[in-house]
Amino acid sequence: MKSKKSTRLKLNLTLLSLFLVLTLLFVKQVYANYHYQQLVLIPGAGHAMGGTYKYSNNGDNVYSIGWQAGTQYHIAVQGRVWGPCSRDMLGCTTNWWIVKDEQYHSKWWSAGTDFKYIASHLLNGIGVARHAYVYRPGLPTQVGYTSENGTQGGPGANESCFFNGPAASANIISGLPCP
Amino acid sequence: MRSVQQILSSKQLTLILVFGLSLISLLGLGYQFLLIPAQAQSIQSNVVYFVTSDLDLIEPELRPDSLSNHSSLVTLKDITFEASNEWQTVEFALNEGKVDALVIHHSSVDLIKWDVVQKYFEQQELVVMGLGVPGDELAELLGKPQLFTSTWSADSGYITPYFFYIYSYQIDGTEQDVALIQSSNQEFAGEEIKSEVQNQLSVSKRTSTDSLVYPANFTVMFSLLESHIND
Repeated sequence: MKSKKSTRLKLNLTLLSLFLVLTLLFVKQVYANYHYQQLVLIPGAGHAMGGTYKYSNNGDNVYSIGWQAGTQYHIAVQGRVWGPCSRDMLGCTTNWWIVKDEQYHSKWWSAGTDFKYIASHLLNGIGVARHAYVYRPGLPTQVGYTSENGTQGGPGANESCFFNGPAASANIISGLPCP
Repeated sequence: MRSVQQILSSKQLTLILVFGLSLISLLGLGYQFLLIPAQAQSIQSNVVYFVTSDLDLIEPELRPDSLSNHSSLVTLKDITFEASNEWQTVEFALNEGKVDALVIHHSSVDLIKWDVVQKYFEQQELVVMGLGVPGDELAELLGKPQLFTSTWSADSGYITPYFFYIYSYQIDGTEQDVALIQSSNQEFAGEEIKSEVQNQLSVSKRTSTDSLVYPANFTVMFSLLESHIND
């Protein structure tokens, strides 16, 4: 009789341990598989970010238009938005800028005048675009540069500005450093 | 009054424990095989944030609840944001064509089937955003290292996980021209046109980055993400 009781005691203790372990595993599993849905709020049009240079949603776009009538072989526009580097970047100083937004659009056999549009809004930076056209296969590439700042179109830009940005310009607080 | 030993040796306790074990086993199996697959079909949002289930690995500002309720987000627009720590769930939603953008936390990189992401990135215009994932690493994982075009002369990247990179890519043309351009890396060639493309073909790519050390940049991040989706 005593032996039977002892066996049941062992069995119960084993079952109890198993129950506790399984319960803990179940709770862990439920906790691990959280899954929920949230709506993200997005700022509306017309906002401008603070900083040295400002872009708003309206009118601040780097763009390229192919003027050639008829079919062009290749048209490409590459837009870069240069902004001041962040304080969590190695070696960053207030005078260094990096490309924070880069877009490249290209088309082969574009019929007629083409329009490429690069929205550079909401980035604290300056937009510079490189435009490249090949009118017919085998012809040389035509390249041009433009820039924009604020709500005004830039007076133009050059290769150095596109590839090096305004990094060489120290303590810029106003104006358009490119070119 | 019965002693503890008497209770522990009782037949009633054996029956209770057997019942309890059966119940917890049924609950566990039901959760595993019924509820989780049901969740896999439940993603309705166009932006999915894939994160590890271990919240200790996620910075407070980058946790799903913090991100979706960040105070810098001021106006509701048409992006819906959903978090999941189940890759099976995310892959199901990708297959369903519901996802426009996939957001990845740096601690979850190893949990992702990158061949699946590459397929949707290249063929279905899936936008991919990494939080705390270095830009060169993310571009490699997407199978297009050329997407990382840093101009930072002393570029060792960001030194905290508080940054983002967003990549998007589209190519449209005949199968033959697309294969030609992709095999010769002409999709990133700029004006150096070497391949003989025979029909109309367009290529677009975009890279965006910024630090998230500044709280206001969360607003920039979401706006850029929306812009990548809509452009």
